[in-house]
Amino acid sequence: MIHNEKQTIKEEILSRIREGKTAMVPRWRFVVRAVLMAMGAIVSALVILFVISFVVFAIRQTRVSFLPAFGSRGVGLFLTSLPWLLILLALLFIAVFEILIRRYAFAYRRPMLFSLVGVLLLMAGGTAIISLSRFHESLFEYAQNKQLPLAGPLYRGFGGEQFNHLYPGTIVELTDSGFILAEPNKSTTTIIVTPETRFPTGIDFVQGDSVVVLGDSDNTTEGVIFAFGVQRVDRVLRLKPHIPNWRRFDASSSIVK
Amino acid sequence: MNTQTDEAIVSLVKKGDTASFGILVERYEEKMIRYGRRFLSNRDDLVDLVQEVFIKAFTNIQGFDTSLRFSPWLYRIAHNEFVNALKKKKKEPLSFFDDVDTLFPHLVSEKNLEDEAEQKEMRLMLEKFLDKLPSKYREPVVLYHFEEMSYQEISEILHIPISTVGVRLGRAKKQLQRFYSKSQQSS
Repeated sequence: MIHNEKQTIKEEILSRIREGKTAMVPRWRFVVRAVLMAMGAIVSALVILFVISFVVFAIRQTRVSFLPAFGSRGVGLFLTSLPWLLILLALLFIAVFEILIRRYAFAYRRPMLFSLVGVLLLMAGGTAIISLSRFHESLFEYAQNKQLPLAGPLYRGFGGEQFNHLYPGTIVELTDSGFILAEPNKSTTTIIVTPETRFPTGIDFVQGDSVVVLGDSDNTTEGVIFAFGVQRVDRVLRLKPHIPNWRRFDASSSIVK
Repeated sequence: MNTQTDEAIVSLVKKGDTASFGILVERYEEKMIRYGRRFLSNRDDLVDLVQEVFIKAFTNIQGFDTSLRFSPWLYRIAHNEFVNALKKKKKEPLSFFDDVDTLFPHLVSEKNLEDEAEQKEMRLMLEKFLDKLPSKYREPVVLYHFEEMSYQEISEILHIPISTVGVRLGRAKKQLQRFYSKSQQSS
């Protein structure tokens, strides 16, 4: 019985081959498939790298990265202002990349956690290099000057202001109740410091300091913000000697009682 | 009797000596039927599936790298074919949680069977209770105990981490022991 069965299977297969009912897939198709798979993995990796580094850029550009230092309100605002669509897109491509590389022995022989950690480390390294290269900053400038046709809306959309409670700028004048802030768009805003104002990086501000203010606008007076928190962006600026008439800001004596 | 290696025969087939494929069919037919029997009970279906396995192997033979071993490659095709047939039959939904043990690293030693007596007991348990094991445990057990494959070969066939092979074999052994002690109590 087994002998007959063996003959049947072998003969059946060989006769199908002889009759041309079964044919080998040519080698070039395997080569094309392998190349396409590899290209798919490379393109996915590049997309992940672009999206993650862009998310980091957008967080830095919109200054929302400073929010968590302002306590629970800051953390809440930080979470709601993250570019979740881009983060989901990055996660989707990480899943695609993982599926593509799981076909290779180096990936499936090891636990998935290892390849995921490997992917994340690779992306973290790549993102750090891209951040240092100012790649996104350059594209953002092109986008602002309307010289970036395809990705322009993306950069203007995610790189621009995300919400109206965060005021980045430079202290141009210290006042008794706070300071005057010059915003990047050249307009000035009066910042009022209250006893509830938080200072995660200290209170000894000076004229010329770059700061980020989290606060609510005064409904009665335009251009006045009650600060919920003030954070210095770059501590080195404090030491700049060329700022005329600079004086040390003593927040404790300037608080509006 | 042909003494050439499987891989040397594959090279001949790739170059156009399609008749040599018959030697590979002869060598692996019985093994494939034995392997498939662990998944499917219907003999007619099984012969058709084994035939399909060889046809797929022939069709895709140009994609086989002859620097690797032929048998895990063939078993991989058979695994896919039998699992698909089983899914069609049982209409089992795909479950992510079936593969959750491939996510994390595990510390498992390759030697999980110590002596001959234990191996004998294991074989006895397998003969009796193999059908009761979930398919994700049954397959590594079949490959390890019946096809005498190494952890690495099983990893190649099932596309799971080597450590997961060890984990599944260990869990299968525990389940078999449970079935065995239950049957001893009831008899």
